[in-house]
This record gives sequence, C-alpha cells and structure tokens, in this order.
Amino acid sequence: MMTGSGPASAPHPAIQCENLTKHYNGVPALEGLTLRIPEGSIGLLGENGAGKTTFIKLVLGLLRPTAGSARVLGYDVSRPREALELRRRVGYMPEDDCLPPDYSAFDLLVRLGRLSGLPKETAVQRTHDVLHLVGLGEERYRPIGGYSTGMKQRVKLAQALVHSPRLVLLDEPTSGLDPQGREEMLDLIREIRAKMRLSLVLSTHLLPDVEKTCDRVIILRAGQLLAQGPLQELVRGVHEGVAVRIVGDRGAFLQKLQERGLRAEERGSEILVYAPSPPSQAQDDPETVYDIIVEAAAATGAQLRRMERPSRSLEELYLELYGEASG
Amino acid sequence: MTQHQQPEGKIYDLGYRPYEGRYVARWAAILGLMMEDLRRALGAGKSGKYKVLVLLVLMIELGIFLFFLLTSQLADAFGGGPGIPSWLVNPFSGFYSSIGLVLLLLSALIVPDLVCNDRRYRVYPLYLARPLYVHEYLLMKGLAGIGGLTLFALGPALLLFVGKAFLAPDALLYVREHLRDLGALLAAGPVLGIFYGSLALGISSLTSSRTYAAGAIIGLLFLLGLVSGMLLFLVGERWVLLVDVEDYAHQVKNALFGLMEPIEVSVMVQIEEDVVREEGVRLEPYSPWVYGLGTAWVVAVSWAAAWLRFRKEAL
Repeated sequence: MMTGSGPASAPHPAIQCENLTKHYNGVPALEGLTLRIPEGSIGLLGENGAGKTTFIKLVLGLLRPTAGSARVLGYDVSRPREALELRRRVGYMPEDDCLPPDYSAFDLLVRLGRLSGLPKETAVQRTHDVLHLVGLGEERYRPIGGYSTGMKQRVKLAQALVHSPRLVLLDEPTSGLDPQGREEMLDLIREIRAKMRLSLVLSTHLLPDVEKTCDRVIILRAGQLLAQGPLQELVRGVHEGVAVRIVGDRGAFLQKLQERGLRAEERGSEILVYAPSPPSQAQDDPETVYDIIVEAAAATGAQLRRMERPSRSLEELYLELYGEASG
Repeated sequence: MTQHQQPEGKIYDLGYRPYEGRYVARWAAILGLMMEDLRRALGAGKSGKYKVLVLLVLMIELGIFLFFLLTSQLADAFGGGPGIPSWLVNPFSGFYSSIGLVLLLLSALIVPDLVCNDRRYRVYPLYLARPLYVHEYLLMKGLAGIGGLTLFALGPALLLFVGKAFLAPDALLYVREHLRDLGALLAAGPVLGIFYGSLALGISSLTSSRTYAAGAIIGLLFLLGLVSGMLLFLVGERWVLLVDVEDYAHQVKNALFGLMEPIEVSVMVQIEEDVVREEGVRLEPYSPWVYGLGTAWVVAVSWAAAWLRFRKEAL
C-alpha cells in the first residue's frame, strides 16, 4: 500500500477509519481499511465493486461496519445517535437519478433542508442561495421532470449543500454529462469548494475529474486500500528521488553528494539522487535536496542541465497500482 | 422626502453563506414535513389530474353526506318508530358505513402517491442521508396518509352532527342527548382512517408502482369481501365473517355506536340429496374485542410489512 505524507496527523481529520470492514452475507465489500484523512478535497477512486459506495454508506452511518471503526468529523458512525448528528453536517449526492419529477427544485430543497434541521424560513432562504449558486435560479419553480440531465445533476448537488454541510460526498457527479456539462460541473465543484470552504469526497472512476478537483486521493481495489495520500505526492513519487543531468565530472559530483549525506546512483545519462534512509528532518525536505544538488554542482564545477522529480499521471499511477495488486 | 431623511434599503446578497444558527428538533422537522405531506395528499402542489380525483371523491362523499342529512331529518319529522332502520335512527354510524368505499378509493389514491414515488424515483436515499430513521420516514408518510383519510371521514361526520344539531328545535338539547354519538363519532373516524391508511401503507410498500399499489389495495379488499360473501352463502357459518377484514374496522365502529346487530345472510341449505334451497340466516357478530384485535392485527401487520420493506431498501 502506498501512503503519502501530508498533514495526516492533523488534530481533527475529516475521516478516520481503523480496520474498517464490511461484509455482506460473508462476502467482503471492504476489508480492513485504515485511513486518516484531513479536511480537504478527496478523490475516491476504484473500479466497479471496489467498495466505493460501501465506503460512502459507512461514512454516512447508513451501514454498520462488520468490524473496525470509523469517525467522520469526529462522530462515531457506528453509534446511531452520533450518525444522526453527523448526517446534519454531511451532504450526499447520489450517483443514481434520485429526483421526484413532480416536485420543483425549490420545493424539494426546502423539504430536504428542513429535514436536516433548518428552520423553515432559513431553509427557504438557503434554497434560493444554493440554487443561484449552482445556476438554477431561474428554473427553480419548474417541475424537475422537465429538467435536462445537467440541470438534474445541479439539483442533486444543490440538495447536498442546502443544509450547509462541512463534508460533501459526491458519487459520480459527472455521470451522464456531455463533455461541456462535465467541465461545467467540475468548475462548479471547484467553485463551491473555494466559496464554502468545505471538505468533499469525490467518488468516481474518471481519473481526470479527480486530478481537476482533488488534492488527496484514496484508491480502492476489491475492498482493499491500494493507496492514499496527497495527489501531488502520489503522482510525483516523493521517495523516488530527483533526476539530475549534468555536464562535468560525474564522479566528483557523486562524491560531493555522498559527503552531504545524499544517496545517488547513475542511471543512464542521468543521476538519481535520493534523500537518505532513514530520512533526516532537514534532508527529507525536497527544497533542501535541491539546494544540496545545486551546491554540489557548484563545488565540482559541473553544469546542471536538468533537475526534477520524476512524475507520472494519475492514470499511470492507477494502472501501476492495479497491475501490482493483480500480481 | 425632507432633507434630513435618508433613503432606506436593504441589500440582499444572493451568495452562499455557511449556516451557523440552531437546528430545530428532529421531531419538529418530521412533524412539519408530515403536515406538508398531508397538504400534498389532499392535492396542494399536485397535478390537475390528481386534484380532480380528490375532488371527485369529495363530491361522492358530499352526496352521501346530503343523503344522510336529508333522510335522517325526514325520519325525525315522521317521528321514527320500530320499523325505521338503524342507519336512519343513527345517521352517523350509517354515514361511516356508507363512506367505506370512499375511504377505500381515497386510500388507494393518496397513500401510494405518498409512498411509491419515493422508491420509484429513488428519492428514498436522499431522505436517509438526512438525520432520519427508517421508522421515522414511515411515520411521516403513514401518518400523513392516515391524517388525510381521517379528515375525510371525521370532517363530514362532524358536519353532519353539527347540521343535525342546528336543524333540531333545541341545538343544545340535541347535543346533550347525543353526547355518546358525538364521542363515538370522534373515535370512529380515526379508527377508520388508521385502518384504511395502514392497510394501504402495507400494500403500497410492496411495490414502487402507484397503479399496482392502488389496484392491489382495492382488489384485495374487494376480493376478501367477495370470498366472504360466497363462503357465507355456501357454508353459512359464523367464522366466515372474519374473512372480510374490511368489516373488522366497521364492526369496531358499530361497537362504538352501540349498534352491533346480527347479520342477515342468505345461505344455501341442502334439503335432500339433489335439492338445495336458499334460506335467510341471522349470524351473531363476534365480541367487539375480536374485531378490535382483528383491526389492531391488520394495522400491526401492515406497518411491520412496510417497515421491513423500507428497512431492506435502506441497506
């Protein structure tokens, strides 16, 4: 399993799971999931049957775990009372079409807002606000049955936001949308994230959606955790070192790096420079590693032509992890 | 505007703001939405077709109401007597008996509309993602349906009582003399509402189609009535009375009015090997407790079925 660093030890994680397990009639849907995710935007990735929906239902407190525990925003989801309180503070946008055609978006949102505990007047006011925010201000009194797919997705998003949640769970929010609609929905999610300062979990199998909207990622496969951590670090591969290309005395350059405590090895025309293992606090800092490389080049008179961390796309990471897991 | 007056105005910012106020109690939210569901069940915010159907049922009920008001006034005018049927002597019980079909039709209209659509259009998960238990969801929907049916039963019956009181020579005397009827009337309306509403809820929970649910509600009660009638004709025994479950609630209503009377039925009697004859038989109804328990059993089974179905769907 791959685990990125980052503020995992923050005092109030959005989601914290310890050995979270869910079986349906003995069949494992989620197996021993241990996570500690700080607030932010989190992409939940995995193929069909990976356990994404089970994870969301557990996080919402709709399912009781077979084993293990989960705390969301500090609430223990296995305790019914706490799960109820949690659901006041969590918004959920299901993947399926789930809107009654004979209701207007306005009526539906007021209703759901009130059910979340908002006073009636507040629910009405917030419904206006949220429907404007998602771009349905002009259409709010029309029956939902006459809406396009894109408008329905916006209503689904709006109902997840109307009660001012701290965490929003979005299950395939771009499902069924054309490319333009998809871009608009992703822009909307980014805008909402910025304006509302809330945490969101985006469950999808569309990797570009996660790349565009999330700063952390959880990758599941067959109910097991394959990887989790900050997206940038996972795709960059923080421990894989820095690729350096120089023109000059390679031997002296390598020796200088080793003197400064960095491990380096030649790979073709490049030199891969690693932070020491176990890493010291200072030398593990990427900026410090870059500084040492620059200093070593200067000291040995080498010309520095390239210096960067080898990175890959999320898709490459995903395929790599799935390939490893498949043996 | 004088020089000292400043123009006044408010700026409403249509932007998103986090809510930092207090949340209302869950029971208050559920009660509020139950009342909203009740309004919708009676036609508010519904399609024109739905409103017409509710109005149609209301017109039928109005016709029954006027019939009982006029006939009972005529019976009073002619002084009553031993030959007058009980439904004329006590028009309130008779009215409740006559609106059985109205309540059945109404339950088949409003309860499936409250329950089936949420499953058909998968709105149900949206409710459960809120602070709401499955049984609270069911209470919200079921009580809205029962409330609507009770309103349709109790409202005109109360109006009938008030009408009779005002048409009597001394309204206060009429009320004093008919206090027992008033009590029975106030109790019987909810009994019928709970019975029809619960049964409709149980049946509606088995399907996500409003049409199938409505058909099943009407079909089941008609079928049981038909089977009961046929068995009475063929067998002629008292236990057959219990086959017609719709009769349970009406017998409870009769008991409340103190009008439990023997039931006259035609029975096929075999005289000789090849000769059968139709004979009239009077069957004594069971004790009110039997019908009370029967009504409670139907209500309990219906709610349990609905709870099990919706709980399964929630997981």
